[in-house]
Amino acid sequence: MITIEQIKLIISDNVQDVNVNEIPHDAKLRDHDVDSLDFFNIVLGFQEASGIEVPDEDVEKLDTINAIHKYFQDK
Amino acid sequence: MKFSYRKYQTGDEVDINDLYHLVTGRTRTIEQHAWQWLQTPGGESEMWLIEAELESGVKKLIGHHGVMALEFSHYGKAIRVGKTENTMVLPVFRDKILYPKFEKKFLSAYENKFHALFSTVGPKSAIRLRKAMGYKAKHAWKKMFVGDEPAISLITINNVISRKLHLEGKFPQTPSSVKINDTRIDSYVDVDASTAFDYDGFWERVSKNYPLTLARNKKSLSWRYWNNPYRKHLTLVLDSEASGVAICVISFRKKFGVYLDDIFCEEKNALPHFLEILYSWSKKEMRCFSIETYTTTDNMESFRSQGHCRDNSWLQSFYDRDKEVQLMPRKVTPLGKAKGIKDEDIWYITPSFFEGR
Repeated sequence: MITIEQIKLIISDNVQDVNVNEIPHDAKLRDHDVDSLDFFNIVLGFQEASGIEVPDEDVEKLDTINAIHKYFQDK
Repeated sequence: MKFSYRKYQTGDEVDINDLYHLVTGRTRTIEQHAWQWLQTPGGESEMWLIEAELESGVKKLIGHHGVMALEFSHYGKAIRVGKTENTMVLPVFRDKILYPKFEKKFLSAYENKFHALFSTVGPKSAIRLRKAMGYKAKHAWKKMFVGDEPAISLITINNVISRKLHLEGKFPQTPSSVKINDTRIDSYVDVDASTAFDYDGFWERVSKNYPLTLARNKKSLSWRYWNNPYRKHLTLVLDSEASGVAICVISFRKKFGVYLDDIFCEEKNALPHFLEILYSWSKKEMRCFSIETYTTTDNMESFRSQGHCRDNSWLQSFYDRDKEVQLMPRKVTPLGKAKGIKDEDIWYITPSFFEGR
């Protein structure tokens, strides 16, 4: 399981010029200057931290901090 | 939703052109697609398609990544270089896939077929992505002007109206060449002589003086300029008693007016001299007092001259003050390194690198 704090840490480690604390937990990451490379690196970070591989068809579920938290809680 | 990828198959060009239209708003014919992707002098280009499997089981094209195969030269040695083009994903699918994961797979499939790879321009995110794929992006595109101040600045203002009126009609409707002798610009225009010019022999002789750059043999020139389905070009053979011969290609662009697409000569340090000859000729023959062109920051000194070629006009500096610097990502592959290409820094760049879309 990954905590909200871990999720925010992984996001801030992989996204330049974005203050992760300013992103509301239910806001879409893509609306906060997170581009495709950032998102790719973030997903790799989640996979590494959780030991869970995210299949392609699940990628779209990881669009907000809350959704990411729920996704890994359910796994 | 499941996503998969595969290589281009004959017949995919209809869907690729539809995707291209949806993403860019531009239309492209089957013939234009064939020119860019199937007829390039470097042989088979790489076209990779990303598909989504819809609930009905039908596969829909949602993304594309392409690498145009181009013939290059590295100090006279023929090499094969890939230019990334048409990297696009339908907007509604951009947050449904991990696009970099796909490009990483594509790159590993084609990297060893090319000695080097490059991209021309792109948004910041695309440049970052290329850097993550091992490209170096140290050098920026730089607009250069051949002309006099204040003519450069004045023509920057009215480039569309006045150039269109005066110049568009001067460009031939068929591939043409003009030979100019710098000692007799007024009297020497011999179309037949330069149409019969030995382009292959000339390139074989001069390519040894150039680092990594596009091949300019007859096959490549024919593809890029004489058979270009998008615009007509005028090829000039500039003949100088002092500096030998230069081949120069110009075209008319609605945005730029007269545009220098390409120039190459026997010795790179003679470029400024040939730009002066071109300027004298264009003033007389085209009533054109400013020619625009592009190179990269690592090549600027080759183009800049004491006379009429400079990297900016004061007005352009004003217009460009807030514009983002456009970097050119380049990568020498392991195959290129094995061929003796040491780094990504020493290229000879003209606007010819932009060709294709």
